[in-house]
Amino acid sequence: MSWAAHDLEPYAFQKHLGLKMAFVPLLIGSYAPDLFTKWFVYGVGIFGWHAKASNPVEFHRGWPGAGFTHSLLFGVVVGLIIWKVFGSKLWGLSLMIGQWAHALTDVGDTVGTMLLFPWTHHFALGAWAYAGHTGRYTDAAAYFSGLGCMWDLFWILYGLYSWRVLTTEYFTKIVYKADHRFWGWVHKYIGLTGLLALYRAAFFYGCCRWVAWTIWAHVIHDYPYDLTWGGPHWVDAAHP
Amino acid sequence: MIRSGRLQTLVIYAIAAVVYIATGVAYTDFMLSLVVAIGYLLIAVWLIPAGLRRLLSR
Repeated sequence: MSWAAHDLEPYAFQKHLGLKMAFVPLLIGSYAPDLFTKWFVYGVGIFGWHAKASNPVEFHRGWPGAGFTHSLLFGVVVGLIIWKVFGSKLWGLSLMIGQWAHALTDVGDTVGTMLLFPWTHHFALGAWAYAGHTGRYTDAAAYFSGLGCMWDLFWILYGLYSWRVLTTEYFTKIVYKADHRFWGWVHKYIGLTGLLALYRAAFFYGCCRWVAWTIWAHVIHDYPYDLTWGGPHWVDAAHP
Repeated sequence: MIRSGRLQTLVIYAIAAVVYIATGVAYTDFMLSLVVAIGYLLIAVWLIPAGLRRLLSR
């Protein structure tokens, strides 16, 4: 799985597609495959009640399970639903592209994704270890010690290189204009500075959590870096 | 050359980022989630500066 890449990729798409994209559905699409699954992969405890998938890897990426959320078909279906329900082809298309970016990015780890579901074959490059089944902390330590964190770093640097996409001018001339329906509605309640904060939030979050988790893993704790293919090899990586 | 308005925005976001990272490292479970990050950013770069401006203009 990827971490900050899902926060940052939508800004790269926004830069290249401009008025042809609606940013918020694009971002929601980028989060969509993990939105309803990741808490159950790590496990959650509320008031003494604990829930966790008995087979987190199969639940997250496999079939039977919710692995179909990481397929291209899922993006098409959800995109079509959004198009029909909200009457916006732009929203549907943007959400589909965001979801496709997520599904393709997660091909990078050792479990990969069932991109062509209902065909249940896992497409996996195996560049970094999938460690979601080990819990959030070990997963974070492993991800930020292997090539996954370099993949995130690429998107951070590309985002900084494309800094103009974060400016007020770009937001008002492109992002707001492309999706006047959403931003116009929010603007009734929030001023421009607040709108800009909302627009930049995922970029801020992606960059900050990359730095924070890196400090946590390598300064507070002492997890070793292992930037070899499929690493870090000190963690029990999952495979399909 | 960075314009003064942009520089001021950059400084506010940079301060917000440093504080967020510092608290995020200490309280990973709470701070390092998207919902908290959005709320935090709205408070840090919109509500607090707006409140300060209002106070200083009195």
